[in-house]
Amino acid sequence: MAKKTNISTKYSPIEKERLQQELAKLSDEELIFRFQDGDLLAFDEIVKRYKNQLFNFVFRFLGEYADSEDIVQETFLRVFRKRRAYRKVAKFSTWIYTIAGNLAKTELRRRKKRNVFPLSTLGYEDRDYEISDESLSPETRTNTHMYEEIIQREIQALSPKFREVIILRDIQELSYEEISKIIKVPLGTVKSRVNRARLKLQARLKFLLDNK
Amino acid sequence: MINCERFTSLITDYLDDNLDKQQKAEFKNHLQSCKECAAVFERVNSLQQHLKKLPSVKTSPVFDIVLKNRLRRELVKNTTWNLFENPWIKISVIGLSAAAIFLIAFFSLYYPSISSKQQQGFSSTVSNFQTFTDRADSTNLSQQQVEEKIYFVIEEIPADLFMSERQHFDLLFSTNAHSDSTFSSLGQIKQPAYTKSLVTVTF
Repeated sequence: MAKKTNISTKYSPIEKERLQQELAKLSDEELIFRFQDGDLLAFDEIVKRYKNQLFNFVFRFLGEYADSEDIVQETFLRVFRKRRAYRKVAKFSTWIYTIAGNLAKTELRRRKKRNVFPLSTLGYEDRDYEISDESLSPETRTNTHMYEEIIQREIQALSPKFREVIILRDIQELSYEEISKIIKVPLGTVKSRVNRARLKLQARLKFLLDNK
Repeated sequence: MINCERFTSLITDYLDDNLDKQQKAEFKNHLQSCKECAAVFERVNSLQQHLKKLPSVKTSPVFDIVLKNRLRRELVKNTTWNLFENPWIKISVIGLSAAAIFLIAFFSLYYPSISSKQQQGFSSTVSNFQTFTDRADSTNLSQQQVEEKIYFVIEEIPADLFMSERQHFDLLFSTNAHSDSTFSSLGQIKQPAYTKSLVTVTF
């Protein structure tokens, strides 16, 4: 029989603060196990730890603020629903990044069906494609420098498989081993894919990188 | 010596310090001798720094509120669903469902066919009765023996289905059994349409 989840969140402010401080010292894995036992404050701590880094990952992958935020929300909802599916065999970060990555890729496929891309003859998986100007939100335009915007655009112009690894490695700074587990490809493939992604991106950003 | 293609394939390994001594030496030699490859190497190196420096985007201020609302809805849904995790509630729901299915099946299947079952069960009894009365005539049994056997035959009527009819049958028999009627008259059974009075036995 499945364990009953205690959904009570009624703590006094002092008690809540004390518990939050206690939870902040725990590892991700300890938090998810506490959440599996019904501790909703542990889930709050997970959200606190991961919301921005997942948002950064998804935003760099999709390049669209609202959709990315929605995907991160959906990621946490999935963690909430599927909390009992998590087992100690994997790192929690690997598990949550896999969920977010899969949702982001699904969104990309959905967009691809919806949008008409200029280079329609190019394949989805193996070739780069151009993205429309509308993909960068006004918020992004005002909140980032020009070169950051250019880099962001060029990252998105990479095919998803290269984009994913370069974001995970060079922006999120995850280890090759963890990337290998998240995207479920062998370690050697991850390394060579990161190298190829860097080569592609440096070629696209030649004008910017040579001038700085 | 490594060529340009090999050189570019090793850039990441060089930057991650994953090359052995010989590979590292060959890499460095090519780096110094090939301007194009050196430029690529510089750009890759610079790119890494740029990517690391990209500002980390943050969720909107309403992110937590929106998530909490979505989770609240999820919790309500989850709580309702969790009711079924309680074994007693689960058993009760299953039991009630089974009872409801049984009752529906009973009323929809049993009642339309009850008259045919009555017909079948009662025909069998009547048939036995007739066989017995024929035999009673030919074997000259005493009245007491006939009564015993008649009761035996009556016993065969399914009590649950034919209780009222059986009582009626018993009443008729007990009223008439002590008359001076002949054994052959016992066999005169009328079987009218299956109304409330299912059977009438005349002696």
